[in-house]
Amino acid sequence: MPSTWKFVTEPTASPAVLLDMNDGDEWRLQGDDSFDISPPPLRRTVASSSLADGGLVTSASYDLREIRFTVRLLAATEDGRNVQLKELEAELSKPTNLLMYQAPSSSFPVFFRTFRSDAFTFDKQTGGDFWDVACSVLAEPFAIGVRHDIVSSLTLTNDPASGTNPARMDITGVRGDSPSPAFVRYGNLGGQATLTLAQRTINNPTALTHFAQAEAATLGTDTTVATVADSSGGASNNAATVSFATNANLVTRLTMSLPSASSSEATKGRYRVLARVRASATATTFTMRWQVSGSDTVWGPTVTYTAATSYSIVDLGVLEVPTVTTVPTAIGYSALAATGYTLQALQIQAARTSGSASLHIDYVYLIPADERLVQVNQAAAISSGFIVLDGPNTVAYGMASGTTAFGATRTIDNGGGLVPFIGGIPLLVPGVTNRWYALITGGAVTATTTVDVSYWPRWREVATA
Amino acid sequence: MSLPVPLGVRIYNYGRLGLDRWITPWVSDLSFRSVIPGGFASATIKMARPRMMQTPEVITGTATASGDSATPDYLVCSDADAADISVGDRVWIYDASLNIRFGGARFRVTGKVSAFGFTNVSFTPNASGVTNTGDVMRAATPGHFSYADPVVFDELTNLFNRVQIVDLRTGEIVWEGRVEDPQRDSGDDTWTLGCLGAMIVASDIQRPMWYVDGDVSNWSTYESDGLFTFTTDQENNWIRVQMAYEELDGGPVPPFNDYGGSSPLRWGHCEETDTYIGRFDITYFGFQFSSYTGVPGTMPTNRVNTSVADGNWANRVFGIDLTNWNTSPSTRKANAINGATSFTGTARQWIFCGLDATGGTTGYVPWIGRQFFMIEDPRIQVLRMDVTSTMLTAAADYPNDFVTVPQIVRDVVGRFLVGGWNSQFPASPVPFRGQVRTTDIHVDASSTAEIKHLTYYDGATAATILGDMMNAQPDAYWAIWESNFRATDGVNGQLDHGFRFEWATWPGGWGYQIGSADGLSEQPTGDGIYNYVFHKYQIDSQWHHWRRATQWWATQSGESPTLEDGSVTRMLTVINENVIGDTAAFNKAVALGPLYSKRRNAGTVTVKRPIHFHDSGVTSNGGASRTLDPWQIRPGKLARITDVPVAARMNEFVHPIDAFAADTFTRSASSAWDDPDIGPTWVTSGGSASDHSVTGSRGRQAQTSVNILREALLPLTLVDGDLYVTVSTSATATGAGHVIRAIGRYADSSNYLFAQVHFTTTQTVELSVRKIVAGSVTTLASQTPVSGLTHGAGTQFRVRFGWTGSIVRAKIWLASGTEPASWTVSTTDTTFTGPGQVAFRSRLESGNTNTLPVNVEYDNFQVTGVTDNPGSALDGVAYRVVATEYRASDNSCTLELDQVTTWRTETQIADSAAKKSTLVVKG
Repeated sequence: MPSTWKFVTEPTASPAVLLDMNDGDEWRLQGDDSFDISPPPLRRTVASSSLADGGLVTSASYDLREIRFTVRLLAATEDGRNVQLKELEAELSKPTNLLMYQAPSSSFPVFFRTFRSDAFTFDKQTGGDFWDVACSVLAEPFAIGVRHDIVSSLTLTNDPASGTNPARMDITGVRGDSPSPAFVRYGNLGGQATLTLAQRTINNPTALTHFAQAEAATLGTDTTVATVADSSGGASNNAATVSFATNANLVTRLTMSLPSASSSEATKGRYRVLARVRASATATTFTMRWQVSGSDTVWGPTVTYTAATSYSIVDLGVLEVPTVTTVPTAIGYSALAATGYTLQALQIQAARTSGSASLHIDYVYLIPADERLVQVNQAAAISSGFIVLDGPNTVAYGMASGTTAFGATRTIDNGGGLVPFIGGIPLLVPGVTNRWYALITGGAVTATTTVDVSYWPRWREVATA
Repeated sequence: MSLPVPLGVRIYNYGRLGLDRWITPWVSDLSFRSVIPGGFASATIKMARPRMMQTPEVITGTATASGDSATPDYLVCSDADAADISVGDRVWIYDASLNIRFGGARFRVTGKVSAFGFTNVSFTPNASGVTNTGDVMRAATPGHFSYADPVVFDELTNLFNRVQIVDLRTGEIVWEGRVEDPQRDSGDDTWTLGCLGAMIVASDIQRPMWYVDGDVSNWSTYESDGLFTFTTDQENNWIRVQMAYEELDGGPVPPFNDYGGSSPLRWGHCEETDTYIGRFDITYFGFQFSSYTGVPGTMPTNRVNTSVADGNWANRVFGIDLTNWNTSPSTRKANAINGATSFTGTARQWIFCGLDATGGTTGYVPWIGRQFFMIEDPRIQVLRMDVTSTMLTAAADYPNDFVTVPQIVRDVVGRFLVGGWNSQFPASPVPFRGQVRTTDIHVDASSTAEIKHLTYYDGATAATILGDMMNAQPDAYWAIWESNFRATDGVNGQLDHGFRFEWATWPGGWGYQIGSADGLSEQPTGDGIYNYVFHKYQIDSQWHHWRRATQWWATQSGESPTLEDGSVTRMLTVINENVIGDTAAFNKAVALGPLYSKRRNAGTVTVKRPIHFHDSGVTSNGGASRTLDPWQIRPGKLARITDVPVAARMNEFVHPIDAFAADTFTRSASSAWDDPDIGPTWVTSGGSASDHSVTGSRGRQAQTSVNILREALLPLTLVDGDLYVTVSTSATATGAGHVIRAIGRYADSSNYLFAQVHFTTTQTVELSVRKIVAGSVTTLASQTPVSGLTHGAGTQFRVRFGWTGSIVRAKIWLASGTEPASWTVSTTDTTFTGPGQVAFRSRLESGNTNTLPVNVEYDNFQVTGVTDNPGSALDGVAYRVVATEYRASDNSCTLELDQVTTWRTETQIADSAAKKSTLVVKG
């Protein structure tokens, strides 16, 4: 029999109570078979035909769940029980509500996010001085736990080659039994800056090398190493400079072994190919693309880059590794995954279609695009404060200086503009290392940003942490 | 285990990029469709009424912005509504001056100055001191019941007028369009958003267009005082102007001295369509004089100073000798758009045809009814635009008396799709909705079709014209995708928008692999169906002789076996009743066969799982090799059914192309050939390093010594291949010949297959296919010489070399000519069947006495082929995917497949060329 069964205002350890349905006095939750918080059913998509046995489940998502319970109203008088019944109806009929549950011996509560429900059976014949009300409440598939602030004031550098958290960070110790949307506070990006944030939890992400300095690559036509201000890699400030002196066509300028990994199965996956580039002067237009060349050649889309004299990040599109062929998730029925993939070199091609400037390529960064990738644009500068990626609400916004996201002052400040985004805000996955990758356009390579990450653990029924 | 489909739905505002709203939690179902031609087509999104959303409330009031720091910006609302606004609320303002109802500045209220005024609404007015009046909208509190008024959602869709369906894993836009038709269903309190995709912008503008007018019926005839009569022959496309008077004497009189006023013929449709003439070409016949004898008549004395056709007065064509014009035509061409004589004024919207003998004309006495002049096959081109919406005004932009498909496509993009479709919003951000960014445009330029008449007097849309262009270039399609389909340019991050336009050709290789898990529904295949020509004919006194011919399913080597190549026609019957020995009708019937292969019927396949996708990016601006989920599948690719036995090509499987390289050598390189346009870097060897160069237009192997092979190796390993290249040498051979080898299955310098071109010392051209095994050369087949070809210094020959399985074949022709249908040499050999590289080798044969160096040059090279051994016979047929429709309800994508060909109903065709023959097409 649960010790805690009540509607509350917020998912905290000690929330304000709207209705306690097991107060040990006039409300008592019945512990019989009518109590049911079983996990929700799955909706499935199955690919099947007469051409093959069985079928393939290609998607399965949890449906809404039905929580069933019976509460006994024990007010001494019928008028009192009438009042109890109206109190219960009031909570059940709210469009949304929060139902807190904690078993007697459990240390951790969960909160079911419920919807308006009209289905209950009212039985006042069973006993003369109490009534039983059997309820069926529609709820979201997952219960949530108390908010967990898992990353606090982490300093992230914008240089993938330096710092403790070089344009990436690892998040471990995620609670819950299902992935949960993250609530991310990111330092002020600056006006018109774009944050690209991605997550990978599979394929041993910590073993992956996903970026390479351009100057360390095999240099192609008209490409040399040069010192260019604000380049990644520390004091050397080196970049690969393409002069286009003898060939302005779309030919290979860089060849690099990317991605690579200390444990080679980690290379498998899908990536957006980002290149940090600038030009020696304006009034020049370049086109760029990636190429993976071998017995077969695969190209990315041709992307136009209009010259600017400060670095920006050019998105060269999606690359899948390994290329060209389909690879299995396991070798036959063995359940053994491939231990590695023979990789082909990644080449960066560039052309100069107009103008006379040289192209500086600082580095090439493969940002994983397997699970969640989001690009957030801070449309306007804000004096201070921070940006919030509110995963639970699927929105992004700014908050003013002096504000705390969960404190008393919570001033939304979009600086006269808004914070649009494209893609998916990360879902924190329990039980594994969540590696996040983050790059900000427009900022200096030495720039740092402070990151805080919170989330509400998702549980199917009960919590263990 | 939960595996939700990782899609999100975003509604955003095109005019104000900052306004976006993700509505994913409220979506109960969605489906979207893309088609070729077209691109993003339509989508339907069904969503629960957004009670829980932040929906704006409309509050009557006035927003005033002073723009002056001394006077705070403030809002003034009516009494009742003021109470609805609180500190911290976000509000939108209707900006009357910009005519932006909801997209204007956004405010956050941070304080009250009175019961009705609110301060510190950080907002930038369109101009200092301008008062903006109208509705004030307040954002409702999240989770709160918003207005029950059903118009609330209408307001939302007005505020956020664009819809994106986004892959949350990669940030890719899988579908985008605009909210066109939101409908509320009160039954279940849901909204259904009807959305139209990017392709709709191709139908938004309609306007008259005359690209090239080659029809004489569009000329107007003008009679001045009844001087002339006119005869028009539309079939042969000429107009004759004749004298209506018996005698005309005593010039200068009209029409001889008054060009504009008395010109009998004129063309002026540019004025009607608000365009200008870019070029005109007119074949012109002068006086009918010498052909008529015994009749008095005198040529104009100033006939050599006579103009005959002008776009404007300043650009008359002078110096014409009319005496040569009566029997032989002379073609007038004017391209007067350069410099000061540019066709930019209204006068450049007209062309007049007549005669003008400036300086006086005397003594001309024609006869009534005699020809004054005649024009034939006039072609007037209007000024076109480039994709940038820039008017093309250089003579070089109009090099021919016809227009081409890419020229028109680029004009369509510039004229209809770039700029101006919706300029409701200020100059920033750009592009406006509906625009195609010039950086996102891919126009295939391979079409050689010559378009000599293309007019849309009653108006046309981009879709109309592009559809017609597909008829001119049947292997091409058009589509408009959202620009973020595959990448952003990084300049504006994810906010780049507009559309990505493709005029692309259908790929030669498969794009999607589909198998038995995906149900295939199709029409019967063409198994056993082939063109069948049945000829009943007469020999001598007998007849009822019969012969027949078949046209088997025939594809070019290396091409993907789309069923279109099957040329399915059930039967053609030719009956020659009294034409002895005539085979013309029979041959014509055989040639007609492929014309009856275009009947297409749909098949469908429904994919509910990830499939493999390969796009070489050669025929479009794409490029990828990856796994796609159902929602990511797009039309415009070939789908290969990998394990469904499709009988049509069971026994003659041709592996689809999966490799491609090409080089136009439009670069400069010394001591190397560097990177081709497409493909891996050339590796050169033989002779001196400096013998190998790229000249800016050709790849060169300088023969600085005799009997030394110079080699250019392309490390592209192919099993089967189909190679084209243009070759030439800089001198005719003396002493001994010049040899050029196009090589496939190159294992090393002593083992490969090749086609050899031999330019002999007698200037004949010899072609052979050969193999070299362990350094020993064997001729497999040869043609010595190839008839009709003569070698000359710099003469370019086009060579095609194909190797498929055991088949080895080659052909050669003058590069300026057309490719012959048949192979010059063809044979089989099984020595080399494995993969090998592609190369060129050349040398001067031993004994050659040419002055050195002799330059062997290559141009317009391309090779297609397959990189591995063909798969099993069950490896399937490739179909064109012409439409895809994704449904979230079962996470499936239905692919509509084309090229499932069936046979025709019986058709009878009159064959005018085959006398007394009847051509019957059955099937």
